[in-house]
Order: sequence, then C-alpha cells, then structure tokens
Amino acid sequence: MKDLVQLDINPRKISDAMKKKLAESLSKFNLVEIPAVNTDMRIIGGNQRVTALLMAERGDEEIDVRYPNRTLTEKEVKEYAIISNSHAGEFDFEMLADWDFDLETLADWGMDMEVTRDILNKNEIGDDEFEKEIKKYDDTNCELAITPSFHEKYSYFIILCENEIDESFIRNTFELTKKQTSHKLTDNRLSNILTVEKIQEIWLKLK
Amino acid sequence: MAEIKIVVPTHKRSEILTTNVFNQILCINQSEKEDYSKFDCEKIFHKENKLSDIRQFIFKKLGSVFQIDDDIVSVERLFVNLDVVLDSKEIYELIQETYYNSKQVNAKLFGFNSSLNPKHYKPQKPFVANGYINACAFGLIEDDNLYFSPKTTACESHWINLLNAYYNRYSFQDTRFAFRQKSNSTFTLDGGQSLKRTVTSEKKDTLFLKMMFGDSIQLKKGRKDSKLHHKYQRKLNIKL
Repeated sequence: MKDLVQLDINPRKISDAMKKKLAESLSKFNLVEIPAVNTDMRIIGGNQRVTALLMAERGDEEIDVRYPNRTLTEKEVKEYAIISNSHAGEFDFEMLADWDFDLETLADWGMDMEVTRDILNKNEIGDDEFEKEIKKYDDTNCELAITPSFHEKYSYFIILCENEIDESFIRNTFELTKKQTSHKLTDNRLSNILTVEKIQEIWLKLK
Repeated sequence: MAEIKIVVPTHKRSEILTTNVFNQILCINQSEKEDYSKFDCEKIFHKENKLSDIRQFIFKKLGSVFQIDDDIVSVERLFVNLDVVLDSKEIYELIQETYYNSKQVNAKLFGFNSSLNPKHYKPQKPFVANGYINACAFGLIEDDNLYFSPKTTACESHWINLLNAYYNRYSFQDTRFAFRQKSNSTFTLDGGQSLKRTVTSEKKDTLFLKMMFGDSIQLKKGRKDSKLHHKYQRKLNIKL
C-alpha cells in the first residue's frame, strides 16, 4: 500500500472527527471499497481510506486496487475525483478554487450547485444565512479543530545567576556559549533558551 | 547567526509610509514601482492583488521572514517610562534576537505584544507561548504547514495564529515590546487593506474562519468603551 501515490490535488477533505470515524470503520470492516488508481499508481479514489490505513501503520499490506485499461488524462482524473465524492463528505474549497473549470462543468459532474457557488465565492451571504451558518460550525464539524490534548501546557523558567561564577557554571553545565548578535549594531546579548528535551539529554549525560 | 529578512508589504502608500526599520525591504506591486522609487532601500516586486496573496508570495520567496505593516509609527518598550521608543537599528536587533529565541524553542510563529497598553503587560511573564500575535508585525519560520489562504481577504492575523495553533501548538511572543500603528489605521487609513476590506468581505472572512476552525472563532461583542466597526467582527478563542 505504501507504494501508492496520494493525489496531491485531492479536493476531498474530512474533519478530525470524520477521520476518527473512518479509522474506526476500517478497523471494524477493513477495506471494503476498493481504491482506484491511474496507471502511474496515483490514487484517484480512496485517498482518505489509504491515508487512514497508512496512519495505522498498515503500509506494508497488499490491497486490491481498480486499475484503468488506459491512462486517464488529468481532466478525467479531476472529473472522477468529483463524481466519486459527490455523494458524501465535504470538498476542499481552496483546492477546488484553483481548478480551472467553470460552474457548469462542475455541476455536470454532479456537484451541488449551491456548494459550487460557494466555492467560486460568487454569492452574497444574507444576514439570515450568516447567522445560520455561523451557528452551524463548531469543533465537531470544522476543518481544523484546535483542542488541547492531555496535559498540554506551555511554560518556562528563568534561571537567575547572581555572579559570574554561577553564570559560568550554568554555561558549562548546559553547554551554552556566549553569543553576541552578529550584526553588532548595539551591545545586546542574545538569550539562551533550553528545551526540556535538551535538558533531559544533558541530564542523562551528567548521570 | 543567520539573520531573518524584514519585509514591509505596502500598497498605494508611497506618500504616507511610516515604517522605518534598518535593512527593511519594501514589497510593492509591479505597477507602483515608480511611486516608490524615492525610497532608497531594497525592493521586491509582485503582481498579486490581495494582501493574503502578497504575504504568501513573500513567505514563498524568502522562506523565514518578518513582515511589518507600512503604517508603523513606533516600536515601544512597555517596561520603562524613559527611552520608550526604539530606533531603527534597535528594532532590527530586537527582531533578530526574537527570531533567534524562537528558533531555540522551535516556534514557527513569533511576534510581540499586541497591546500598547502597559496595563496589559505582565512583567512577571515577559515571554508568552500561546498569545495572540498581531500580523502588523510578525515573523514566520519556514514550515510546511503554514501558508496564507487565498480564500481570505483581510484576516491574516487570525488565520496565521489559528493555523499555527492547530499545527504547531505554540508561538513565541516577547511581550515587553509592541508595535504602534497609526491611530485607527487598521480599518480606515487610505491605501493598503482599506482598499480591499468591505463589510461583505469581513462577513465572508468570519464565516470562512468559523468553517475552518470552529469554536476557536467567535463573534465579538461590543463594549461601552470599545464599539464594534461592524457586526461580523470576530475574536479568537484558542483553548491552548
């Protein structure tokens, strides 16, 4: 599976919640729907399923794929990407906005006209619609939900040295060098910052 | 120490450009080359229309880069009463040092205090890892996940803070310093973003950010001491 190539113009996107559901479904039912590829092994249908399996560290597995009897053109690849995704899921508006097709072509391929108008940013949003839409989206259905994971916290400590001997001790222990700005416009000194990872590394060495 | 380039994107403000940082580079639309010819500094030219596209052009062209708006009148120390204002070379060094610090903590977005009010400055907490960085002056360190969306018109501050929070979780902010823009210039000063920002574009930007980032975007409520410019104004609510 890891030899397959992801479609870098994939217009399909799924939220983190949907990704989780997809991973659960694959774990329960395995790969029921067979991904489709072009002759160059680029995935034209099933990118999200393959990604979910790769993330589950199943890249070494062999899977069935649908393989065309001739190479599909770039236009056909895009057409198939729309057709195969029209029944469910969401589209990546940014990616689609870069596709050079008009409204009618996208509609011919089965895309919902309302969605298409949104993509091309041609409709004015009325206040009622704005109110409705703004309430519709939250962390469960947005594209990039920013939610803290367990114990996620960012903080820092400052070490105060009261004399040069202490400063020298800290510099030597934590492998800090006396750095000055290279441009030397003023006499400012640069700060030294250590990450926990670096401190742990030094700590282990000292032990 | 590798230095970070400092770029000032500017649009139709050749007569009123106030930003002045040592070694700054102006980023100008090709069509305005003549207008800005009087400025004796390095210039780069683009053919973009929207600020988000210009910011992306700069980021793509230069990689790690510090971008400053063209209406900055001063950079100020919030921790002293005397010698508050930094000179052009001091600003340059401040940016370079903050860039160096950001690299040490592996932060991809860095900046300074978004408020000039000393009451908002906490002396016991000069560095912040999850604060809001105003795009009037911000640094980006090369990162595959960060970019400016062509779908937005005038919300780069919110966009880049949110995108960075999602992918990189934290930023680096030195709250001892703040950049002062011309009074009330964000929405109304001639030239710049004022030529692109409309109430309709604000409405679309707010909705787009909500679709992308859900609860991390909220509609702003007016206060007695701070009236809203329009009812689609938004605020960040990043829970990190």
